[in-house]
Amino acid sequence: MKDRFDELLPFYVNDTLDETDRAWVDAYLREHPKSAAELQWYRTLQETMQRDAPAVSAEVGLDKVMARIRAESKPSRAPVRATPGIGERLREFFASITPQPLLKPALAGALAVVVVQGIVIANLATKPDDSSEIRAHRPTVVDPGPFLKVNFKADAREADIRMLLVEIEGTLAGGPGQLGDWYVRIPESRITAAADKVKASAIVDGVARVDALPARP
Amino acid sequence: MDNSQVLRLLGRIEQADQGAFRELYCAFSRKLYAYVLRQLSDPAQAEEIVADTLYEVWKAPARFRGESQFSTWLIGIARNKVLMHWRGRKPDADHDDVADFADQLASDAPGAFEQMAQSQRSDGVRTCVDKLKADFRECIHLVFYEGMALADVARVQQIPEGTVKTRLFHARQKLKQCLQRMLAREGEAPLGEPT
Repeated sequence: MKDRFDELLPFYVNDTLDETDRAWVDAYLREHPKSAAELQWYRTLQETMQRDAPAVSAEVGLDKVMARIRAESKPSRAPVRATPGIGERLREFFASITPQPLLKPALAGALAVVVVQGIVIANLATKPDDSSEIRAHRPTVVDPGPFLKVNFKADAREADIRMLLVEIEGTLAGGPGQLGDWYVRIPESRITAAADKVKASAIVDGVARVDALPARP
Repeated sequence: MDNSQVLRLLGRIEQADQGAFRELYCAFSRKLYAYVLRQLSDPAQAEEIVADTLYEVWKAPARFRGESQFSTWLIGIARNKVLMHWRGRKPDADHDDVADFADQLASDAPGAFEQMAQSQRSDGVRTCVDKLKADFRECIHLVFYEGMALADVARVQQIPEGTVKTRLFHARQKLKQCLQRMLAREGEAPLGEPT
């Protein structure tokens, strides 16, 4: 009985016990008047902690947050403008994490690769090549499955999608397709738990397991 | 502020209503600050974490779905940030100190509660609460400052309800021993004897 009293007493003091437990503690206190000291001790503790609350303005830290809010641009939160699609928002996100100074050298590098490849292809086309048929049938690299095919709700926000991917430790393997299908790669051992978590998410319309990505046109 | 009011404000925040965000911020910032400060004892860092926590609400107001009290949910976010902060810090030597002298004292000396209740030493209570191990201190704060029910404390601390009860029991023992020690040092009452 004493053990139960000890367990219930803190919640008796902070008034969160249900009626039954509260009545039980009341009865115990009547039967054990010495326990009133324990009750008083907890009440003193509670009063002290309430009284010792730090004297701080309700606006503590607010200026910092408002400065961050003003500094950020939130096109997807603008009430009037039509919100961009998920694909556009993800493209914007990936563009935003690309270091801008690298863009020009990267573009130059990409152009150089295209030029070199063009020369090689032209060279090959002018020569008979017995192995070309074999090369044409070389198996393509296939992403190892399984995958979750996920359809997000129209109002799903990019930040929430990213958060969900992090939670399930999934990696984006493809999408969105014409029907808004996204493909998320998950290790076999975790796919059931991940599917359950995705299904329970408020930003998801549907989820299904698939073992391969759809064929590319 | 109850959950229905909170959800209304969150709906406006979703529409980028800064006034609604200010209102929500001011309604919860003090309690959040008290929680973080109790954990970190660093006012500047506490302010930073309060701001970060409520900024998350601005960024993703729809994450709160009303399944718990908003303050409980908010403390859960702040708690993660406190834990992140701790990962870069060494354990506080004060906590070991409490454990040390707790062992030197009788665990349940007669008359202890009477002494504590009658002495009304709020400064002593504050000092001893601050010296508790972080998990115990958090538990005491959630119960006696936030006024949370057992299930909510368990949810915030991510532990079974039985563990909450155990933490409260041990926290009480440590507090009692710490206060006894303080009284004995100051000669206000002999240890273990009812006043």
